[in-house]
Amino acid sequence: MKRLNIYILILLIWSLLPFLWQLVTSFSTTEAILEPFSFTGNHWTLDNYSQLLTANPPFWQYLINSTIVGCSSTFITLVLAIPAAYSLSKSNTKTQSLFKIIFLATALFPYVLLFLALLELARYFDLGNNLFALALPYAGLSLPIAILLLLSAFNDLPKDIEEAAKIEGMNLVQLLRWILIPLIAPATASTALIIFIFSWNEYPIALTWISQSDKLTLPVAIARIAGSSVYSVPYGAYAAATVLGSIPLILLVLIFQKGIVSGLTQGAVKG
Amino acid sequence: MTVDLKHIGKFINGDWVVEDLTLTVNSGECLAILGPSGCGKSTTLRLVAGLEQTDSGQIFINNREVTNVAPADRRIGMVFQSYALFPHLSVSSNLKLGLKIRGKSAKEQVKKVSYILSIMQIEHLAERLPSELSGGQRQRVALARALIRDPDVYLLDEPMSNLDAQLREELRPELKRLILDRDQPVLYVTHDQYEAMAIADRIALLNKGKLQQIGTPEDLYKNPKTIFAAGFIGRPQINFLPEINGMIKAIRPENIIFKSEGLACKIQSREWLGTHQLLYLESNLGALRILLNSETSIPERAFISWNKSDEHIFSSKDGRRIIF
Repeated sequence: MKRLNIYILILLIWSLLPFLWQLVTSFSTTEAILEPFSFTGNHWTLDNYSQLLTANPPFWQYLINSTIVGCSSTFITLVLAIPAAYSLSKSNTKTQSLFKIIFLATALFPYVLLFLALLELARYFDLGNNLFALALPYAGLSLPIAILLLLSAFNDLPKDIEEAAKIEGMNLVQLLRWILIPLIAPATASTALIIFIFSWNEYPIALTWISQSDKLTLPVAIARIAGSSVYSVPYGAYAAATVLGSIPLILLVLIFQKGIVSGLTQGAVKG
Repeated sequence: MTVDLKHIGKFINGDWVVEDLTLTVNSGECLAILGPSGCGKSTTLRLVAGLEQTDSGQIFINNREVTNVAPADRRIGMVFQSYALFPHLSVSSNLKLGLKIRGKSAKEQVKKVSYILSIMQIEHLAERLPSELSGGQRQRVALARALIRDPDVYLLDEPMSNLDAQLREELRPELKRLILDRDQPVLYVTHDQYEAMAIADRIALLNKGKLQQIGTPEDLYKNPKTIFAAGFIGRPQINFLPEINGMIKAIRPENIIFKSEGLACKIQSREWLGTHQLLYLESNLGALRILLNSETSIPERAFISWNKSDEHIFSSKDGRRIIF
């Protein structure tokens, strides 16, 4: 047990140290960043943050933009993926495995290869500089993995429960509303999180589809910080932006953690 | 209220899982569908429920043809082997949901649920989730959900097979009080012949999708119509004697007695069963089982005999009973 604790500690340090470093850097003056072990002069500062938040547009604008894109792409994906996964779960094993292979192949496709084509589409349909439009390719790219995850959740549901609901007189909509969606909630939560994180982090499509500075998403905005000065790399501002950009994700994981972990179907069948 | 199955059949993967099955369950009657696993008994129930479509024949509930009617519109109350409670809902919500779907007012829902909870004696469990209940309690909730529907027919699919023997014995009289004593016909699927005999008014014995025999438990026991029926009903199993002239004789272990003369036997082993003892004998006619009162003393040199009238005689060709 003791030894296990040590391993856990090592693992924690391994994964959290970079984040701690960012956190420290974000509160450090430029001099302190360049000479981390000299303790002369003023070490700590809030300048990096105030610089970000007073810029034009202020940094929280990017957070809002990314949230809009993240929420819309998650919503679109789930609305399409839940019915798709459910109907696939009702088809025979042959059809299912065929679609599984197709979706897996699509999910593994390096989407960077698509972004030029997507850019042409955006131009043609005039979808540039529109946050909701940006959610469309994100939803498209997330669909395969979302359907695969939800399909296995539907397949894991005991058949009896659905049949009992049918005998109670539920139609398809009622069945989804009262039984199926609540039962796959844990899988839906983790799927939603994966989609949200993907669109939160996505760079090449956001870079090409959005050019107006007040509509940028986080990754592009952070990249622009580097371009703000030709002669120096603004490590402090970088770190502050990284910290601010991570906070929403950490909050989301904490909120959904219970739903993801809980085994909701436990005790549904058998003694 | 009645259930009529007319020549129903179900064809899966090149085989008739249920073949040309015709039977009637009368008002107030409990019919047990009995058979080994894979005999088509659960499929039969699912056909009546509408969870599977028939490939031949017709199903009538209350003289109304329901062969192509959706499960919800057949007015059935079903209890699943796995109970199939809605795991995310409390006991009372489990019961309420169906009423809500069928458009009952909130007031009526509350009234009905509390009534059912009280006759099932599970009021104290109303706010619990299924995962917080014991097997027996889940079983009661599943029964309650079938009852609250006020159906035209009850379909019970091995409702007690997940419970231990003691709990089963406790629940049996309760099942009788709550469901079997009502006017609605009951179809009760089980693989346990004792349960079928204890609960059902009549038993339909199935094997490989075909109806072997239908009748009262006593009828099945005393007059098995096929070799299968003779071998399936009754424990310890009936003794089959070697085939002679295309005939197979069978004699039940409890019909064999020790005599001062008769068929000479060697006693191979003995099982003491409390009120009875079961002896395994070796004779000219092969291995035999004989069930005796446990008080009976076992003679040194054993001769056995039985009454001719206790013999069951079957044709070895088609396995049917031969009546002289």
